[in-house]
Amino acid sequence: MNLDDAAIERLVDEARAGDPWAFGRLFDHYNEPIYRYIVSRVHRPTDAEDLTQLVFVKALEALPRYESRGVPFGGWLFRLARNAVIDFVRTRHLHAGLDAAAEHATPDTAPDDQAIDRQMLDAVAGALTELTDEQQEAIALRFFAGLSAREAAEAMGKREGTVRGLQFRAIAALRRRLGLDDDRPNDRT
Amino acid sequence: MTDDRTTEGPTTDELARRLEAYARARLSPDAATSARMRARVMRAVHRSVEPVAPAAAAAAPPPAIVVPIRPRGPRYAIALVAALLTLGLFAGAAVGARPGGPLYEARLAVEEAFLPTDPDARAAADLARLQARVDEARAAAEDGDAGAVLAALDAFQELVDETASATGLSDEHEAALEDALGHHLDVLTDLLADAPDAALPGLERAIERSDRAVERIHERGPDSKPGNGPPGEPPGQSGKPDHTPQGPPSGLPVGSAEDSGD
Repeated sequence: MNLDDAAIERLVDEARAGDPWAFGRLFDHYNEPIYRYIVSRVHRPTDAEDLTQLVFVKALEALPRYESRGVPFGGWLFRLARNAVIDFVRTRHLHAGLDAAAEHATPDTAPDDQAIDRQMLDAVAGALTELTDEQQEAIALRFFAGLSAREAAEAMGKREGTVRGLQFRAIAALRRRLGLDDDRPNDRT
Repeated sequence: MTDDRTTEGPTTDELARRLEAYARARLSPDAATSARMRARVMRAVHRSVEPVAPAAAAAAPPPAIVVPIRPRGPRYAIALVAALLTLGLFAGAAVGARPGGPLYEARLAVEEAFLPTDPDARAAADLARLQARVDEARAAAEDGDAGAVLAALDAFQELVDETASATGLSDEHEAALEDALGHHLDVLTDLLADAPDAALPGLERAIERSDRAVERIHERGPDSKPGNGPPGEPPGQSGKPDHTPQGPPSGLPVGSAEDSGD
């Protein structure tokens, strides 16, 4: 579901006024990116499901206090998600392996393709573990959740330039790890 | 969420493709997970806007805010029994006409054709029909039959609209209708957690429609008529539901936006 910033702000206003339909639309727009971000951080799908629900319930509770003031709603929502992940990890001391996240299959591919894909996906998963925690977070917000650099910066509580730097170094490391160093002609720097 | 990722740093189309493939295959929620999350979140949303606000109730004299519990007269009881008997007769005659089945529409039409003409008896029969539709939806949800849930909810919504727009009802019946719809709203909200995924959008629509109907009935109720509100309050405002979320909307552990994390 594609919504522009103005449409999102309208939905936020309507949801704040108590319109369940508007909140439902916001959920539909953000639930997948939020879940992707969370599962990339906590790794276990069942935990990600619980935390995603919690983030939206927290957003519902905090919505009357939300004021745009130049802060994109997506950045605000992901900040709630990031805080929920931090609380979760802090209280559970949990850092499950990536195996749990690998429970997802690729149902729409043929068995041979699946094997190739699985190899490629395992390589990506392995390369991600080589990144620092902050680099992983930047990649999760930018690539898995699809946030802009500004939104990612808001979510991480950092300056936009810092997030871009983290992303730059993360991408360089991933390219090295995945053997894509010779891919320079495709760079769009 | 704009895409400015490929305009900076040494990223490549190939790396972006692999990361996206990884996210799609291993990080995206499946349809069942999304539906479960949506149902639970929307249940919290509906619960947060559903009740008449306690804050508003505390700020004004109770009789003006709380839906008055009025005595049900013997005439109403007789009409209700008659309606239940009538409904039972037709339900018995159309055994097998389950919601979504080929005979369901016919059963509803027969029910409607034989409704009593007396306004009080008719209103009581409508209450019984509303209850019957909710019971059907609940039974279908327990059976995991999404089609039957939706058929029962469609009939329910039609009946809600019909009864909510009925005119000339006594205060007693208005109150009974409002009470009944409020109860149905609770039942439907609880169903969100158990209903088949395919029935969830229909269930949410039914909840919204019922919610609006309760508001409409409440607004035209005796509390909204001139002279019934608290001193100094304009008529029609005393019983209006306040949609401001009140406290944690569900059993989930809820903290403020600012207090968690960093």
